[in-house]
Amino acid sequence: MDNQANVPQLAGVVGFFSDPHLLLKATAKVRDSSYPHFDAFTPYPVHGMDEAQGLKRSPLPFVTFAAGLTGCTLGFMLQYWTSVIDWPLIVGGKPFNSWPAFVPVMFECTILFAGLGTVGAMFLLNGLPNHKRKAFDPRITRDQFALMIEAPGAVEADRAEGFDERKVAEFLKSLGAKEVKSVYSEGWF
Amino acid sequence: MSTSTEVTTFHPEVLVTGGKTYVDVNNDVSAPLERFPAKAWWVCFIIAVMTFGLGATLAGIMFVNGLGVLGLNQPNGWGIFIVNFVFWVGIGHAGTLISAVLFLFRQKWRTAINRSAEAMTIFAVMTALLFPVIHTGRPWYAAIWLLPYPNQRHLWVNFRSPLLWDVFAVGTYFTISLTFWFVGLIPDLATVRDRAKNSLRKTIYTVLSLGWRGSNKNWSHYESTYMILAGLSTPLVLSVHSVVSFDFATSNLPGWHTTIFPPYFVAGAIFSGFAMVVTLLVIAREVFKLKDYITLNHLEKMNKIIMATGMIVGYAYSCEFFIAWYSGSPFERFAFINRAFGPYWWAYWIMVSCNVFIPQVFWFRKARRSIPIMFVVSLFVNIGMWFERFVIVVTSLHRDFLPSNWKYYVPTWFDWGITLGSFGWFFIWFLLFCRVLPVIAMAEVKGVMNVDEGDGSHGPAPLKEVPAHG
Amino acid sequence: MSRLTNEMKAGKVDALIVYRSNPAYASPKVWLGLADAMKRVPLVIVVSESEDETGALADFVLPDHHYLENWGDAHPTQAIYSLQQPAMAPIHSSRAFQDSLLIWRKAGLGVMGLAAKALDWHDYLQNHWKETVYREIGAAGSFEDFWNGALRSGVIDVFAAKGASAPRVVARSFKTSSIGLLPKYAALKTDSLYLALYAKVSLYDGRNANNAWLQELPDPISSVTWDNYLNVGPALAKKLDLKDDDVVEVVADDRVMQLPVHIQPGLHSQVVTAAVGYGRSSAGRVGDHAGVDVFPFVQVAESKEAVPSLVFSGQKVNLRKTGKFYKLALTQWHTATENRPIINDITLAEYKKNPAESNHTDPHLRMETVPSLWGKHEYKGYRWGMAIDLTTCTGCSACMIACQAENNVPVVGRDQVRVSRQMHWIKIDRYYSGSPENPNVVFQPMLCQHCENAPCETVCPVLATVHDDEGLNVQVYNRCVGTRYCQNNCPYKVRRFNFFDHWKSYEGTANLVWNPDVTVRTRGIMEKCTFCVQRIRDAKDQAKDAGDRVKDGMLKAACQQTCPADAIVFGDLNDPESRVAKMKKSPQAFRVLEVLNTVPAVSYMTKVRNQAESAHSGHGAEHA
Repeated sequence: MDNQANVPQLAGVVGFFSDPHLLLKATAKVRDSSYPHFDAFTPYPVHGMDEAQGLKRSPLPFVTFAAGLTGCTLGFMLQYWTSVIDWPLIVGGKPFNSWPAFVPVMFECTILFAGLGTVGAMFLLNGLPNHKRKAFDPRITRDQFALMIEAPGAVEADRAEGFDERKVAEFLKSLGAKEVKSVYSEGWF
Repeated sequence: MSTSTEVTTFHPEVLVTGGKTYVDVNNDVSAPLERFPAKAWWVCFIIAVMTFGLGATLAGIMFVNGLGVLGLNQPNGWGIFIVNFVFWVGIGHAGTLISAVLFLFRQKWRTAINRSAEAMTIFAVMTALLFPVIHTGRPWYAAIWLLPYPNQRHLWVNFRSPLLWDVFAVGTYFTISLTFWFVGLIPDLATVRDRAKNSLRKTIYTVLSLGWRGSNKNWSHYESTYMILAGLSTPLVLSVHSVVSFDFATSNLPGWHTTIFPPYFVAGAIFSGFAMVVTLLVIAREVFKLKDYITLNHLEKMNKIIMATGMIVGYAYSCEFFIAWYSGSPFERFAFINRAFGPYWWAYWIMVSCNVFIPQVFWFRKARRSIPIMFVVSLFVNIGMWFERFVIVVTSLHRDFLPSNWKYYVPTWFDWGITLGSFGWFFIWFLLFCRVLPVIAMAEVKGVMNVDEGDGSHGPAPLKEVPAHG
Repeated sequence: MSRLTNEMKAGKVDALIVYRSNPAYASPKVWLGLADAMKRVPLVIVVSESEDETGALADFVLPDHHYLENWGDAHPTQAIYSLQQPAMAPIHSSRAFQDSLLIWRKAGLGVMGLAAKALDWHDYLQNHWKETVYREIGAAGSFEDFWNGALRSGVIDVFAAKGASAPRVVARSFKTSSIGLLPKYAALKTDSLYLALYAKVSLYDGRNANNAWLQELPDPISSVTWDNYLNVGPALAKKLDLKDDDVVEVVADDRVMQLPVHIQPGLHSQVVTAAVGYGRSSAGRVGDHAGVDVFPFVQVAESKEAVPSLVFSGQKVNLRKTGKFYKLALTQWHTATENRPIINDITLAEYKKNPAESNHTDPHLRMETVPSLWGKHEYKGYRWGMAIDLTTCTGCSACMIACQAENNVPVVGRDQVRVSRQMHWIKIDRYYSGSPENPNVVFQPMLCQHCENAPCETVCPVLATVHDDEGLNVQVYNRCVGTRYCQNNCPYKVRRFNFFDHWKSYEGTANLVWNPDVTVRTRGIMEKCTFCVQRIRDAKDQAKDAGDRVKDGMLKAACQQTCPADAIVFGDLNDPESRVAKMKKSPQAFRVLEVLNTVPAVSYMTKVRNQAESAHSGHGAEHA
């Protein structure tokens, strides 16, 4: 377990479950344990997993709202500035500030900004694209459910708990994992 | 399955038949991507390419010589191309409805069809967008001058024009649909990546899947995004076809200038879109052997939606007639009598037969669950909906306010050939999609299926089972 | 003509010079045996401005100058002399006929051994005026001054020059008994059909057949372009079961011709008519084979005391259906107003009783005040507008040609007119009302109304059509991308789209026809009446140079300038003294489709008919 660059670092210990219910229960137990960093891996989002992991609700809706508001404002400003300030032209006898006619574009800008903003924020929060090739297993996308207890990072403070690979493996087996592996950073399990 | 004795046993609907497991899902859906396409695919693809080639050649001749090769004239400034534009945008709306609206209504059966329906949306919008560009007199300018970009001459665009609203609406619709579709694809792209044996394949799908690993922390934000996108797409799809209908509704022509157009067009779009989905999926499930995923139940539900929206459309027809009479406007009254009994009466009656009468067969359960019947009905519905746009566009233009301007519109071979070419374009993309991307949302289907692994059936996670904190 | 032809046939004619005349086409040539007769003449010289059928039979064809390239004079009435001077250098290598005569005279004298001075036509003309007009006027000053003055003004008024106070026109009395000298009109046999030939206002006797503008000018009554046809009355058409575009064979004695049918309301049921001037064979690229040559049906009436005369009407004919069709290129397919608020007409008696009755649009379709969510834009400077008088408009369509000439409106050809793509910015709509046997007719010039609330402007996505601050709806050609939404939204359908590059068909010298003050449009671009904005700009520039405003009457739109009946009036609506402002205020004024709240700048004056009964347009029978 050196920190030298050419030796792969231990990322954590992962246990595989064949059943999502078992994984739920196991995750809840890990949440209640003393291991601070852990994550579940599933082929589809399992209902109740967020609570089992003790995750807070995603803040994305706030991003959506802010982005949407931005879009709406920008949409109006674009139309107002071009039609009223920069080059006002008499079109169809309508006033320069034809705000009823500006509504459709404002609406669309709201949705465009809200949607793209949300997705962008999601990528950021999820660390996508995952170019660091953080650990994952090809069986997850097939039919396996996994729970990984992550090893503390390089920072000294995180080492406070003391991470024993074998202890963690036994703990996971006790939760019902049918297979347990150690995982090293960089690439596949 | 674990049950609580106080709670009435809830048997969720069987959405995937044939006793499939999660592994089966991966295999069944990914297999077509991993083998060399069958002869049937090649035949269809070549036909699509040739059809598109024909359309593209004719369009090229049109660009060089002028729009005069089409059937347009004075007063018929718009013709088949605009009919096609509205037709294709309308078809796209079903995909978004299935993806977004059915998601918000927690209709789990959508999971087998939403991937291909959204793909259909994107390709339909790509097809639709061809037409507003090529139907202009100077498409090389139209493609850029409708966008409000800063320039030396301080020229801006006319935001009061419905065509500009179209630019923003259809542009936003395409962007958000593409984004939504791609976000939904990420977990499945990861699946294909994990199955890939060929290193080029693996690299491509690794890049496309953005390195997705199934982490629940990611799923948490992902689900939030999906819900938000569904929530945004719903008003979006309603607004987009409303804005497309504004091309007509905000003009002053009798037969166009009516407030019923936004809901009428949206209902009609869903109607024709679902019919196109049925047409495509009846074929796809047969060819790719996906009958256990896209079951008769799924198709029956879609047929019910087709009938319901068809009846809304039929109601809108009668509403228009009533209001034309009730309004007392001689222009309006004439416009509708002209539709039914004027020179284009044949188009009107094709429209009514196909849209109002034929879908009534779906009152019968046997018809709803019969593949031949639903396939034929879906084709007729699309024919009827195409003619609906034809009737709207042509009958109002060819006889408007001043009788001295009344003239006929007769499409030419260029009109038809380029229309055919657009179908070729659509099918090229759809066939490529079937070839390189999973046509069913595997991750979503796994989330809603009952898996029997032989050691006691495991349903999807029951309604309340999470142990309390601490 | 017949005497000349007989002499030619007898070999008595040694040389024949034909000057600006086309007897090999525009005469009963077959009856005369003109072609054979001309073959017997040893020397045939044809002097004309363009190729024609007579030139095809000639030994020599001498191209004459165009009138714009040549000197000349005219003496239209007893008291008026006019001078014609070249406005341009000859484009082609033509020679004035007058110069030819002078050259031949000199050569002829030379042959006879007589010397003669070399004269050119200009000098000859000048000398002639010096001997005659100058002397008659008796003007003070040198001849050079007189000549230059004559050139500048173009017209010499003898009375004015002499300072005479004698009246110009001498009124003569009319002997009503002379009516008795007219031949009696024999009663028609009830089953006979009679043919009447006429000349159209556009091609006349065929001399203008190679003029594309005039070929494409819609006939004011039938709106047909590029072809002639057989006019058949509605009752006769019903009896013979004829429809528009049916091709019938017209048979008379030994002559036969085939013409497409046009059903003409108001035509007597025993008369069929057709226009001369069509079916030429040597008119040129444009005129050849347009229509059918009906000159063979022109008869010659022998007369004992007078020279034989040409008879264009009255011969008995029979019609026979051929089962063939020929699609005539019409510009207007529907001829009734369908009770829509487009036309107003009133009888003189009603008008005298109450002029305010003029506008009898259904009150429901008449909007006096319209509630509006916002205020209007103000037009403080000039506010251009037009008033068109439906009473004086005769439908002659000269305004259409004037607009075409001024604004570079292209010709599109018969096939394109058939699919309704003609480009005329102003057109004459002709509406029938009343019974098909004896209809009333209204001619309505329809052009861009320059609406204050222009529906076309709102829908153009690129701002290619906007309103300027003088009330004009302007079309910006280089911004237009051709979505044609503006055309769809125009309730008057006065916008024209360039479906092809029509300018490409103008080859060689045809390009000289373009007005350099106006853009030539390429394909993909929308165009329409601009109220001759180039003339407005020019007038404003001139007024600015003079330090003044444009005065009423200083500025004329092309259509207004050319209208022989002065039916079109154009000017500044903001000037209360202008003609157009006064006409707009009159109770006779109405606007087309006012109910749509487009607020057009063009007002129309109700047509006042000198008729006993009221027969308002739009009420009564319609026809196809």
